[in-house]
Parts: sequence; C-alpha cells; structure tokens
Amino acid sequence: MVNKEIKTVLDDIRSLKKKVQIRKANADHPAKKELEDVYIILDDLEDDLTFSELEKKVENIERSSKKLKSVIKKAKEKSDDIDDIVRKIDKITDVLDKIADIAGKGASIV
Amino acid sequence: MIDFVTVNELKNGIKFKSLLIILLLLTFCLSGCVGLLTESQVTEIKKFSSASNSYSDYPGAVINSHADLSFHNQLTNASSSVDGKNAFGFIEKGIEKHKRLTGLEKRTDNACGILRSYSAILDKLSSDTYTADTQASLEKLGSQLDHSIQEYNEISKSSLTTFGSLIAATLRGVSSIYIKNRQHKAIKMAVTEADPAIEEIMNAITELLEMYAGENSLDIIQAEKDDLQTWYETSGYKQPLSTAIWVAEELERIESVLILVEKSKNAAVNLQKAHKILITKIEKKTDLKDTIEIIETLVEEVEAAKNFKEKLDKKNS
Repeated sequence: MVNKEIKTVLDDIRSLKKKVQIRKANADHPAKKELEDVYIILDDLEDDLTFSELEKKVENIERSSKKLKSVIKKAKEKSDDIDDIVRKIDKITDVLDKIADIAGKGASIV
Repeated sequence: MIDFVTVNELKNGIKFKSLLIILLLLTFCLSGCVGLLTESQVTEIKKFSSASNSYSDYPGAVINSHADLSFHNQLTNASSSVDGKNAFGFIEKGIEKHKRLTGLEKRTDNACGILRSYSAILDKLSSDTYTADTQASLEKLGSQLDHSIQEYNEISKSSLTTFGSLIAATLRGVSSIYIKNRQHKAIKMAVTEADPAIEEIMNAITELLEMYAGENSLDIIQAEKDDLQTWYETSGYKQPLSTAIWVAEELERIESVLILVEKSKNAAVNLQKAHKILITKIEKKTDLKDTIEIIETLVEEVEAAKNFKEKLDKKNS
C-alpha cells in the first residue's frame, strides 16, 4: 500500500506548485523570478519523494523475481534430466542400430 | 468372405496392441502412477504461459510513458521560463529525470522478464519435442533392424519375419509414457514451488502500478496531467496551433497510460488466479474425469505407437 503520509505531503507540494505557477504567469507580478525558483524547489521535492518510492517498488519486484529465478533453475534441471533420458534412449537405439548393422553384415559374410 | 491372411493380420494387430497396452501400463505404474501430462493440462499451461509472456512488458511500458511525460513537462517549463538559466536547468532536469526513469524501466523489464523465462520453461516441459526426438531415433532403429533381417533372409534363403518396426513401436510407446510421466512430475514441482514467488512478484508489480493511478495511489500520471494543464492554461495557450495539437496528443497519451495501468493491475490479479487454477489442474487428486483423460492419453500413446509401427512397416516393405 502506498504510504498515506507521503501522499498527503505530495498533494500539498503539488497544490503549492500549481499556485506558484499561476502567480508566475501573471505578467505584472513583481517577483516572477523568485516564484520560479520556489517552483523549482517544490518540483525537486516532489521528484525526490516520487523517485524514492519508485525505487523501493522496483527493488521489491527485483527481489521477488529472484525467488522465481531459483524455481526456474530447478525446473531447468528437471528438463535437462528429461533431455538426458532422450539422449540415453537415442544412444541405446544407436547401439542397437549398430548391432543390427553388424548382424546384417555378419550374415552376408557367412 | 475374409481370407486367411487378413484374419492373421488382424490377430497380429490385436496381439501387438494388447502387448503394448500391458507394457505401457507397466511403465506407467513403475514410474509411480502419479499421472501423465494430459492434453487439457497442456492447454492450461499454454494459456497461462502466453498470458504471462505478454504481461511482462506492461509495467516497464508504464514507467516508459512516465519518463516521456515528465520529460515533456520539463520542456514546457523551459519554454515559459522567466530566466534563461532556469530554462536551461529545466531542460537538464528533464534529461536527467528521463534517464533515471528509463533506468528504472530497464530494471523492471529485467525483473519482469523472469515471467517470460517461467513461461518458456513451462512450455518446454509441456512440449512433445521430447517424444518427437525419441521417435526419430527409434524410426532409424526400426528400419535398420528390418533391413538387416531382410538382408539375412536374402542371403540365407530364410523367411524370418521382420520385427524391427514392432520393437521400435513398443520402445516408442514405453519411452513416451515414461517421458510424459517425468514431464508431469517436473511441471507439478515447478508450478507448486513457483506459486508463492508468482504471488509475490505480482503483488510487487501491483504495488508499483498503484503508484501511478487508482485508489490510494500517488497519482503520478494525474500529477503530470495537472502540470501540463496548468502550464497550458497559464502560458501554453499563447503558443501557436502546433502546441495545441501537441497538448491534445499528450492528453491522449495520458489517457492510454491510465488505461494501461488499470488493465495491468487487473491482469496481475487474474494472472495470480490463473496460476492457482493451473496448480489445481496439475496437482489435484485424480477423479473419474481425470482418470478417463489419463486413460485417453494412454490410448493415444498406443495409437501413436501403432501408427508408428504401420509407418515403419510401409517404409520397410
């Protein structure tokens, strides 16, 4: 769940940003440059809060993906085992194949 | 009237089929009688893996849109700045934010890519390539055996019946049941052990998506929209028509991202549910319906082995 306190702070910052931006747009305002500086500070604050939360969420996804990775590794080993069985069957048939060939050749020599 | 040869062929066919059934049942029971990978299970696995495969791109796409929206908003700030230094600062900040967010997007894509790997291993474990590979080598064996017997018959003027296809077909049936049983065990292990991890990863993705939109969210997308709206209402509207067109495109983009967030959140819930259903489908104790399906799978294997034998017989005749 998203932290309610962070949401409240963010809402306050966003509301202030809006007010500052509207004031700054007033052509007659005497402190337009100062208002823009305040806007930049508020924008940075909003970014810091948002990024720190985003980082946490992405880290959570990374952490949980590692757990799935270990299951996939185990499943891959099982799949390799089955591949190995297929290879063994292949080898057995290859040997039988050769025996049949030798038997055929032996018969022709006899 | 049925002639003698036809009756004999029929008898041989029945004998071969009975022998196969016995051998396959023996293989099935010796390998633990836990189950065979049935058609409906394979269908369920395919459904899940295709859904999770396409899902893995969604969270990254949301962050990517956030990166673009915030970059554009910094550019709008720059365009209406009252100070050159500040204007340049807005552009630099836009680039920096974009970089940070695309970095997070890449990390999310990499982490969610694990869902693609999971789908791939489920697909592999449920595929019939294992039995197809065995069939190819057994086909070669059957032909070689029959060829050698024919050669022997020609030289020694004997009339030994060729049995290569019979051996190959029997081996095909037995190995196929054994492999399908191993596949079933492997899939059962994979889905059961993966479930807590799937639940955790989907919850983590949902938490990330909840940052963007929805109830109790940080409303990141809505905040970008508000910034754009305030900028347009206070300064942007003085710009030429091209700016209005651009803003309209941005609004459409915002709407699409909001839809994507909602759909991704719902899909995350459904994907978790689908995985639970998959477990039930693979793990549950066999009832009559499942038993019938397992028998059907056995029958299919018998038929496949019989067809394989006939194919070899035709090839060798």
